[in-house]
Amino acid sequence: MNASEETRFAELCNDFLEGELSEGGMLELRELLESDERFLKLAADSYQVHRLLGFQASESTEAAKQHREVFVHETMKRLPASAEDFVEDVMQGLVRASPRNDVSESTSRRSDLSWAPLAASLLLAVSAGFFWLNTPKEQTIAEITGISGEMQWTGDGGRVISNLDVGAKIGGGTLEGLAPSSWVELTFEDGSQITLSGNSMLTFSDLGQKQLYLRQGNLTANVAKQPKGRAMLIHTRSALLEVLGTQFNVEAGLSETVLDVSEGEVQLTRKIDKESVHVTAQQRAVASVEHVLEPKQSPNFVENWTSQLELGPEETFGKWMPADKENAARLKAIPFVVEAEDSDESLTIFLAATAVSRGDSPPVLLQPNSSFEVHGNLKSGKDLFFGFQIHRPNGDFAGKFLAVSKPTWEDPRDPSSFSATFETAEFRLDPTLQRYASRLPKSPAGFIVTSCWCFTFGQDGLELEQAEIIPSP
Amino acid sequence: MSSEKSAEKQKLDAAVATVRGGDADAFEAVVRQCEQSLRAWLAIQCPPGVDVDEIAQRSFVAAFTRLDDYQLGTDFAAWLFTIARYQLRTETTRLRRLTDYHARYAPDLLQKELNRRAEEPTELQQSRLDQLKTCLEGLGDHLRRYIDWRYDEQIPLEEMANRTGRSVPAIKKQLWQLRRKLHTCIEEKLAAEDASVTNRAATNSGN
Repeated sequence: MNASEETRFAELCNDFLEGELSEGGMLELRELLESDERFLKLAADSYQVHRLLGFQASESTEAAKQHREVFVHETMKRLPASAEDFVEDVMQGLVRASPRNDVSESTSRRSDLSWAPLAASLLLAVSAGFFWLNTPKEQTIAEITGISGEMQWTGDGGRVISNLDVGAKIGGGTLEGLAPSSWVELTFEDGSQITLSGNSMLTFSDLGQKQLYLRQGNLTANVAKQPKGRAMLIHTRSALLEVLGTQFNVEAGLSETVLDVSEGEVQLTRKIDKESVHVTAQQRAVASVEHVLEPKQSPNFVENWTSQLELGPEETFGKWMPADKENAARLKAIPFVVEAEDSDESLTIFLAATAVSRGDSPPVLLQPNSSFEVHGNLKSGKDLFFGFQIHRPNGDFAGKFLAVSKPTWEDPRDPSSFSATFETAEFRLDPTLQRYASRLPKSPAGFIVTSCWCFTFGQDGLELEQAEIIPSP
Repeated sequence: MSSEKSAEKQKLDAAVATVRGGDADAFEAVVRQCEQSLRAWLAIQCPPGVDVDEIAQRSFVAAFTRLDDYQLGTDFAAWLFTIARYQLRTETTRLRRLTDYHARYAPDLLQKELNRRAEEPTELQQSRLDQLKTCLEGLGDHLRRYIDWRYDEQIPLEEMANRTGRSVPAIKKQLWQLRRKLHTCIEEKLAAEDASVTNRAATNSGN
């Protein structure tokens, strides 16, 4: 351990504790930890003191007593009536959570969505502990006004909450969408609304000026007029957005930020050279080293789309595998654990997903007679679930839709190669969004598809090779 | 063992006996007596991404359902901590399955080190919180303010830099040094406490 290494280690470790460490930094920190055991001891010591300080701070206020009361109350509520009841409850829960394996393949190619209530219950992961979202001394900044899918909130001091629900009031912290289908809508005290969707990470604070750090993902905002000199600031890895009051959509990737403005005006500054542009209604600008920073007319919609997995794993969820002698590039479904709302049960789905209208590509508009075609590999004939997320043309979240099908085997010589077709009319609103049904469209037709995914309920070797949106002829 | 700790153990055992006798509500006294030390222990053992309160609650529920396994007259808190250790291990195993957990939240080596530390005896670790409070009192006001700002008032580093006329990296460095100083202080006090307990035990056995 030399002096320069030690200094760098302290910087990285500090950033890690402050939640500001990038993935590159995490890699560097890992290398240092591997290089010298003393670094590992220092990191663990520092982490534990940091956590203890956070805990001590949260326990030392008068309001902490209330927190403890809630903890005791909630714990008592979770106790089973008797040991026998507990065992019975768990057994029943396991039966309920089991995927449906009993659907006869010969009866109908299509399966119904009768598992939906269970999935809704599992995916919503709701419980009553809203109090926990806010350590007593924290100031409330925003309220969750819509949520679906797996989301996680981390407040200061390391409190991690995954049972978020509508009505939860939260202070500054980090919101993360853990799955391609995750979605959350936040309403700030002044009425400004933001929605975060897909795999995403957003840290925010409001100490008189709203500051948002979008590390990754898609954010749509409808911002109320902000006080003079205190514009809402949105930081991404590659750009800074200054917003006084407007409606826009921003998507942050590792090296580029794509901004689409629906109403008003946003100032976009590229971090690498501090160059700025004003982006106005119906304009798009991209901040990256590969693009000229200039506002352009928002691109026209297209109606067909084909995934391009051969280009790499960017904006996908799953294990990406390059093309080889026998296979095209593909995305292997990976396990994703979904927690149940009211018990310790969990359900594992095997999920692969890819972005559709993302990055600098034109938005893909779904037509009433469009269909989705999926090709890939699958080792069983079990149900294949296919879902997608849609936005309104102004960037507002408009829902998630889901359908289920049996795969069709493409080649008798290759028993694992399948295809599946899903017509637009077959899709139903995702069960996790049922309670928002009145404010969401019944049909996805006429909306922009932002991402799509497929999953199975077992380890059936699902690999996605290609997904397409094909408009009616 | 101090008479205070002995009285606490007896109180816990009495509550456990009442629960076993059919009064489930008596478990509330058990939760009240153990929750803070359990949550403090979990706070320092949990890797990022784990909800301390959730693991603590699961541990209490698991303890309740297996209460018949507990042997009255032994150490209920130690038994509860063993259950918590298993609950924590289950959760960290689940986290490891998340594909990008280590890339985004915590290096795997750090998580392994925390797992290793979670296996260490918990008796001394339970008093870490008390020792931390003593060590904080020992910091001068000029240093204590950084801790108050960062942890109690949760003031952003930029604001701390403005208030002190220093740069953000300098503030980060200051916090790093303070955490190290506090760690050393806590370890020294725990070691002194351990030595004192050992000496007392030796004296008692000599008598």
